[in-house]
Amino acid sequence: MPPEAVGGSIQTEIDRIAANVTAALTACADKGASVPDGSTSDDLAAIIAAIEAGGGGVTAVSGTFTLAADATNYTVEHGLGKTPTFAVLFQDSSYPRVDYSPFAIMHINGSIYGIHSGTSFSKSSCTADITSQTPISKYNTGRFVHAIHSATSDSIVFGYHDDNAAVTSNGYGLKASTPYYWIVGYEE
Amino acid sequence: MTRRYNAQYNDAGVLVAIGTGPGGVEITEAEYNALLAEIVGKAQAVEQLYAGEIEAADVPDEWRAEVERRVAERIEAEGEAAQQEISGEELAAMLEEVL
Repeated sequence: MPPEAVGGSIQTEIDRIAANVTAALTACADKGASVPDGSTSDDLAAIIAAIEAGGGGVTAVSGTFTLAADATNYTVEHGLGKTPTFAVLFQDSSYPRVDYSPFAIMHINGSIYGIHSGTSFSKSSCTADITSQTPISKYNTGRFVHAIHSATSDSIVFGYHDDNAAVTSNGYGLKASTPYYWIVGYEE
Repeated sequence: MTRRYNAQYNDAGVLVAIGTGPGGVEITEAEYNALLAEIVGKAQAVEQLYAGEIEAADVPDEWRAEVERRVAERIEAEGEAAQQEISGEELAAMLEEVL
């Protein structure tokens, strides 16, 4: 094989790999990664590792809880590490203890939404943001008030609250033995 | 992804809730299912005793004190089962079902 042909083939391959590395570094930069000038393929692994999982957008955690006894409220240790900007609580309506429910309540960036007894979907303005306890972020169903409040970077309180905006001991809003599903998250 | 099961206890060591996801003390699926069965059983006993469908003597001995206490708490909070106040919205819903 002529030497020129061998050299040309190797150069072609080097050019192709170099172009691929450049394209990969550019893609990392587009994903928000810090790509220092002069980065090479040696730096690729570290640059990719530094990109946050999910590449931005929404980070959320979810879970369930089933209370051992009726309660006015329940604190979920979500462990997000950041104060959430949204939260959802949903009750499984297939269970028998739904005499005042089922319900679903959502707090999303300052608005509160609720569904009660499967009859309607409503939106209410929050009386406070999601981190406040008094007044609360609530969905007023008339007789019963479901609420999401006191969110921190580690925990959030779901519960039942009197209309006077204080945590109440008058009544039992969350039912024992009924599964509640929750999602808590924040937008990047 | 493996599901994480948890249990939440109060300062006195009394079970408050079980769940899945973060938080609480991690437990096994078998422990979760056992606790869930106990929670559901007690809740049904509370519901039936509150509604007058069973007598206290019908409740298992090991659950009776707790079930009676929870029924008493519910009566204090909500009144007797036959004497509950209802809202106009709830009354309307009831009427819609029968009319």
